Amino acid sequence: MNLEEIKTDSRRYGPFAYIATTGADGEPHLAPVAVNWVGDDVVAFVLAASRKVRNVRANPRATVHFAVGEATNWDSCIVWGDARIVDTTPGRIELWDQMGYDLKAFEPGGPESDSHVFLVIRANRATVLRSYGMGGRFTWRREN
Amino acid sequence: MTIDLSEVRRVATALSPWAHLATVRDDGSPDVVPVHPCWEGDAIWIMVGRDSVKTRNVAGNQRVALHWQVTESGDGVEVWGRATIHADLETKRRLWNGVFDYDLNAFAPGGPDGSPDTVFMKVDVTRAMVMKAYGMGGIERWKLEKA
Repeated sequence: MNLEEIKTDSRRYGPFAYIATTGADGEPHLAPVAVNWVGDDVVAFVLAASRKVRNVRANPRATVHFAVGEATNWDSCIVWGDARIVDTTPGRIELWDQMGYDLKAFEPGGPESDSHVFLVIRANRATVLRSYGMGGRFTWRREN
Repeated sequence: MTIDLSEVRRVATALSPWAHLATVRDDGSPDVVPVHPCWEGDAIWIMVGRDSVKTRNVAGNQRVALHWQVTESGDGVEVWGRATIHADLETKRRLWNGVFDYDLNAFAPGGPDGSPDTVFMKVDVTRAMVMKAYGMGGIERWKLEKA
């Protein structure tokens, strides 16, 4: 698969995904979030004080696992990448209208508010598993 | 608010048979895979491949997290714990019948004696979080008390 095919496949699972991050103490954390692709990045709008943000500041790696379910035949789409936090007003303004839903419902203060940030994951590799891998396994990796 | 572990187990079991399991690689990168966990008392068991990434990861870092798939209204459960891998026949035979709520033979037709590539991950839960509506409706927590 190429990255465009990964993006297309990931949209089958709906907007929700589970983002895994690792704390400074080596403990993993999973958080269900709404995500969207912006270019080659998986982007989530999250609370600035959340654990996933603290984790990414300590360890800038994250993995995204899109929701599984019967409707998609228990297929999985997993994306690994380098993560960063966009916590400036200009950065938030740039991403504000690109999430596919109205962020004002969650942050009435708009992109100027510091209580929310964007978690941006640059995809480096991805795997699609059909029926938990029993129906096939497809991978993509960014070429250096 | 606090909650006891039996209530965490009840809520998690009612949410979904599926959970997302996070483990950590030697370089600190997280991995996530879908799993079908089953409770035995306060412990969680997961059928895994002996050579799988998650099995390799817990050999280097026992810390794992499990997040049950949330409902449409955003109710969910996350647990954290320490994972160990069990490949001995006695454990495999015991788990094969009566602990899991699905037929393990569908994934390992050789059964406990004839599936050397199938092992079990045990997660001893150290803390947990039950959330309503992505936490906006409240969060209840449980933490293992140190002896």
